[in-house]
Amino acid sequence: MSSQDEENHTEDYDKEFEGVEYSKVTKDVVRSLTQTSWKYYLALGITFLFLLAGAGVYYYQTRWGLGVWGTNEPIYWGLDIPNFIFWIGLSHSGTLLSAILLLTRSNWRKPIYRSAEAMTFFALVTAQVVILTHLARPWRAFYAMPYPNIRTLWTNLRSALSWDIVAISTYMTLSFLFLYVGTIPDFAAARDHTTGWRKKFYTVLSLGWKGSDREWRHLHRAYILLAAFVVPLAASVHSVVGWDWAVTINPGMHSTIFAPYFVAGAIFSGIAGVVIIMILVRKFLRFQEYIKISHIERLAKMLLVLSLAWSFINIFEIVIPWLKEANFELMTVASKWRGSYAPLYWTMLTVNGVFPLAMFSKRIRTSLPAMFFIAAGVELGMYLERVLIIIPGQNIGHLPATWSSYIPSWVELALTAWTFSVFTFLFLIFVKLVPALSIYEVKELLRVPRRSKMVLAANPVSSSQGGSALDQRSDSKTHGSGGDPELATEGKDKAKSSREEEE
Amino acid sequence: MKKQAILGLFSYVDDCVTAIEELKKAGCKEIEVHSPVPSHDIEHVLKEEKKLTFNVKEIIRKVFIDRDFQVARFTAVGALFGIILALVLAGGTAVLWPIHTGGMPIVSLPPIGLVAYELMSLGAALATVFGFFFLAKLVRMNLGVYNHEVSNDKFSIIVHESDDKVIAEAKNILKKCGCEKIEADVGN
Repeated sequence: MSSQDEENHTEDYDKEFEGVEYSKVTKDVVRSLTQTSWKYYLALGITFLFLLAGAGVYYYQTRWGLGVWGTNEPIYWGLDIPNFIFWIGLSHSGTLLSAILLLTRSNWRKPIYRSAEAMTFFALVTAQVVILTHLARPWRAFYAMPYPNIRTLWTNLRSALSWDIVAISTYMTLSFLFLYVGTIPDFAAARDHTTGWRKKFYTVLSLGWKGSDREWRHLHRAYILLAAFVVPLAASVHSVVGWDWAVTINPGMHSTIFAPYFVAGAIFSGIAGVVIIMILVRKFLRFQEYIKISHIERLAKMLLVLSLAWSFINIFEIVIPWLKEANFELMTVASKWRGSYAPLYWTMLTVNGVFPLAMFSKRIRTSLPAMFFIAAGVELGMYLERVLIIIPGQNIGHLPATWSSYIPSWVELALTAWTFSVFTFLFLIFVKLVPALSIYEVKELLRVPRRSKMVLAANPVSSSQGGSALDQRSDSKTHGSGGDPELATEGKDKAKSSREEEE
Repeated sequence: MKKQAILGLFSYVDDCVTAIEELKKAGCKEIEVHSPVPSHDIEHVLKEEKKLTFNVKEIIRKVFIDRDFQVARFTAVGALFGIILALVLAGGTAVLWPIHTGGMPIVSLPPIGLVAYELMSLGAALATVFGFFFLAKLVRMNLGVYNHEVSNDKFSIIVHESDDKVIAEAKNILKKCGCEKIEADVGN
């Protein structure tokens, strides 16, 4: 390797992580797995109580049927479908963001992507829970699966709902594979630095990973290929979810803009979810040294762009029916502007379209409390958006005589809260079992340990005089620095001070 | 003669790279390197020149024993399998149980295309992961010669050799190149 190449590799590190060493990353991440504070147990306990209570409500609903909902003709779906879209939407961005940033070789993804990908997977699991609560008779869920039954009656794959099953199952599988494959080296690191049941657990999950050149090479290729499939798949999933409604003729739903609208909205809520998760993981797992304010700021910029895109699509949703004088669609709009849905609509616009404009200010983008507030607002707004698509869309139909009103029952509200507890519980379990920060990818951001750099810094004159690498090594051994951790540290300190001087 | 293995542990990647170069010069053929992060330097120095060959035995050895080919081939096969499955599932089942809807075709392209796209991605992803496991020789129960500091901050070189002389020379090279610790495993 030429000296120029060597120099290029040496400088290929992120200056934000100056001074952080490989061993520190391993230590900090393993610490986040093994050391647990009382706050964690408290959060887990409260979430578990909500989980149990929700399971009780679900039993009640299953026992008495969907009559316990506040639904009526023509509003049959209630809150379950908005819940479903919300969780599918939240699942976007985690894996999608990670895959896009991987393909574009954006190194800032490395400290944040693991938790974001987990968020995707758990949001998808939660969406499946919503499907079960919506079914009312969950033991018949297998009817939706394509299998040859005794009447050779197959699932109708021309139906948009069948596309949903195929698309979401595929996305969930890919998200899991993308998350798992990227975590294998970290499971190996956890296996090597834990004891007891954890060691056995990580031994199984690491599949015998050793970090050989062959393993790294194939991991990298497989990871890139998975990312290449994940990106268009994520767009297709929410397009398909959008088509569930766009293929109907209901005013407020029958729109060609629904697919990009849903995808933009999903990424918008997904990035807001990533911001919330990052701020919490950073604080409670004490990853301040790795998840920097600059990462939150980059996410804030993306959130701002998506907020503007979302506002643009919302304006079009009003302009198009106005231009074509579609009366029933305009009535849907009017019911949101000044009808019974107005409080929800204006709240949605404020938190999704107005508050995010504050992120034009760097001060806001770099303030964690402000970002947490804005991101939480976006999540609320995106939930309301789904409610405002589904409920008025069913209600304001072509026959005004059928128009009705809808107030969700306590069962629906309780099950909505339950979905949040399912997600939170799964995520809390995740952060204690899986490294929430990618150990090896964060290490890739650090300065590669090289003796040549150490020798150069410790003894610039003798190094500049030339000599082979082996000679340098022999010299350094003669002087006692080779293999001597104290002297090596001294060398590193000198190297660091030398770099500081250069800067 | 039994095959032996020695493991040399390094703190610096350039020491490790020099040691690999020296070991190759000394005639060591079976060299394995473990690192905490993927390293271009190590990949570069371990790279062997590939010669085009049309020998069937050689190809079989390359595919099934050395497992020396790209994971993308698995991906392509998986994607193709997914597309075929989708055509059978979406097109075939529509023919098996025809639902006549207002003059629309029984076997309709848009839904088939959509299902084909999804199943292509699914097939490709599953095959990619399977291919990765196969090529990286993963899902192993025994780690063999391995030092757990590798997953922390060290680089290790493992030399597999049956000749005692070569093993002795390899040890000398490792020491000379700044190796911090040498572990031997006889009868590997």
